[in-house]
Amino acid sequence: MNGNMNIALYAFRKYGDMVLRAAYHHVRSYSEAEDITQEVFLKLHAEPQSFSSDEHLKAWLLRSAINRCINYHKSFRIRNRQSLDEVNEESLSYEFTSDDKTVLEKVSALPDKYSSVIYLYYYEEYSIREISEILGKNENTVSSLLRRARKRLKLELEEDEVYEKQGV
Amino acid sequence: MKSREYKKAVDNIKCSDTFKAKMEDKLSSPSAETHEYADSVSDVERAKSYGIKRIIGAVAACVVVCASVGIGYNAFKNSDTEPTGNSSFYSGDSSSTSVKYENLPSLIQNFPEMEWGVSYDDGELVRLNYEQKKALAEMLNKTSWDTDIAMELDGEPNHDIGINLLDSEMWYVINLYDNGYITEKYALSNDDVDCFSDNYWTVEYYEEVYKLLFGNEEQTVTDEVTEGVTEETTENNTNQTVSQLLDLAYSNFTETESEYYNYSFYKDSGQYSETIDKRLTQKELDEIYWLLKQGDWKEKKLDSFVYEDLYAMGAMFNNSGQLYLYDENGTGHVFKAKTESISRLYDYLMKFEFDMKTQISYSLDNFKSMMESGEEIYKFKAEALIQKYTEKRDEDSEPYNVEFSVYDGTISNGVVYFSNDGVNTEQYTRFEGVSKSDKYGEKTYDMTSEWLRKNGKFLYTESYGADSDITSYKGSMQSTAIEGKTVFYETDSEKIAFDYWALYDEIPEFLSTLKAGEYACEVSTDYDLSPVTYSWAIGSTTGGDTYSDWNMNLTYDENGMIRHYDWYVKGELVESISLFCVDINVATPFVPEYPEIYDTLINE
Repeated sequence: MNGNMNIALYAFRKYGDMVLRAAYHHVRSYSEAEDITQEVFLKLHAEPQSFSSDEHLKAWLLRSAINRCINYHKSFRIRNRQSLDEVNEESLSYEFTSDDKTVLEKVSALPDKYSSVIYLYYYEEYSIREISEILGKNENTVSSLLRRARKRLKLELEEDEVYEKQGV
Repeated sequence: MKSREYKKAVDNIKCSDTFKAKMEDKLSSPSAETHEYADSVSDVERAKSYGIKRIIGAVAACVVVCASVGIGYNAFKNSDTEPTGNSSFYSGDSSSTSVKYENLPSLIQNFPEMEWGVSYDDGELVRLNYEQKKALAEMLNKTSWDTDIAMELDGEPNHDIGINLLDSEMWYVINLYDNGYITEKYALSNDDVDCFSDNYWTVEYYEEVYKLLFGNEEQTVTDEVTEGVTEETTENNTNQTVSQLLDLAYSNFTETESEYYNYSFYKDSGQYSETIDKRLTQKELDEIYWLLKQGDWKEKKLDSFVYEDLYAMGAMFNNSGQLYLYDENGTGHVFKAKTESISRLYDYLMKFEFDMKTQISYSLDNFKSMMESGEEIYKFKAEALIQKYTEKRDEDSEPYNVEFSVYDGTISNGVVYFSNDGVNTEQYTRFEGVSKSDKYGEKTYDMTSEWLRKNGKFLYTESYGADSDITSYKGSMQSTAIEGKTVFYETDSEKIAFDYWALYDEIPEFLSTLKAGEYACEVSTDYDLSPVTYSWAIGSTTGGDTYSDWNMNLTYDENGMIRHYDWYVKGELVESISLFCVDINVATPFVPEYPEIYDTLINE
């Protein structure tokens, strides 16, 4: 970690995309994911913390983002901002294929606790134990969530006939 | 789904260059400076909050404001004079083309038909007369609005000019920011913003418009409201604002939430992402909002809100005495109360919390107290899994091949492992009289199987798609109570056939008479938090696959009364019955509460 750089800036440069991805999995809106990402790093900037390692920092960021996403879903605010999403979709810096979009939609459509686990397990490649620490859940619970998410996801995707029936 | 395909899709999600640049700038500044826009989660939102405040006022009244409020215009002064020039424009000659609301150039061409108002920063809106409109329209028309110019913003905006176009059907507003940023918005008939776009122009363009409107005079915006205001007055105004915002939150909450599940009130413990939902009665909801209104509030910075130990129901409030409310523009506000002023609220909430934890989630402390008192033990989310067992700590017990998994708890070999969705786990020996021996597991199996026979019929677990099951294994034999409503079987060969049609008339009685050997009954719930549909299926389970020979879908109303059910036998709809009234004390949106439902059903 560069001692001349503040922690928030360092964290953003290293993990900004990661936080955005985690947020996107929940809120399914690029603009809202940006909002949440901004909140996470601004909070860290306003209230710097010390971290024992990059992994510690990464876990903190993920938890902060996921907690904000959970609050997001509970807020009526999103009902006032749907219109922004349509326009901001144009500002995406990437293009999804139709299969990409289907996959992400299916994962994001899962309840929060499932989509978090899927993302952390398959994309960030955390272990069950590490996920349990990030999410503050028991390992058995995480295993159970993962199992159910897989089952649910497999059923959803089979309905769409997007993918072959192979184990995740 | 193949994991590599999922990863490939996720790889494409990245921060845009614009977002990166904005964040670099904010995070490079000292943290105090970033607070200015901390509540502005994006330039888009900040612009929106600026524009809509004015628009709402303008649409409501199309206000004509005297220049004495503090905004001075050299080039423009408010005037009620009749327009000169081409009267056919002003009179709305039929030769005029109809306004295309989504197209600014068209609006500019039809400027005589609309009210135009301009403002500076948060200042009042000033209506332009015909000549003024014409001059501004000509200037705006010089731009090429079809050209998408992407420019570097010249730092954060400090000031903006709002140009509002209004008529009886719609409003359209352009905000020009002094850093070269432009936003356009329109809405129809007082509705929310329908369309939004943002562009980048130039600082020079802003300055050109500024000069046209204000000449060389530097604009200052004074706020008469704050002059001569005492701190006490400010606090009173704040409390009045909080009261209004609470009213707004209340109406939004009750209007929307009740559509799905009455007043779901949840607590987020923050660090452990523990959420607890509880349905509130109307009275409880009203009391909470009333208690919040009694608080003595002072507005704080938006990013000071602590997202831990918070309660949410439209408004968010946490144990730190903070309140988070949204105004009608969707802009967040944080308020802090003097603790003593809302102590009654927290006393009230603590009662909820205890109730919530005993019904929905659980705490080890609560469990311990219940065990020690000899009362009925902690209820799992399924409730009353095991009754009246005394606590024994058995640190030397080892897992056996007897395991019960119920959502957040695991009973293994007679030892219960609690998790509470957190990190604390402790072990308790749950079964009275169990001793360590070679037949420990078998003994536990027998005891729990017996218990399941007696009590396993109506075990409820929290929904959200949980498929918890209680299964005890003993060699090839298996007893399973799945997801609440039912029972277990020994082996396929010992299944006892039952008369499907008996269910038609005798559901409650049938369910109460299920014995070992009957088909397993599986309950599934709606994953999407829609509260009222509850499906039961009875089928056989072979080799891990379950297929349903018999399905019943129950629909509950908001009072927990079953209002309708559909019966399917082997996939065919047999009967569709409405108003099958069973009074169920619904503790959650999905799951009837045990044991009342059990007693009620068997007594029907």
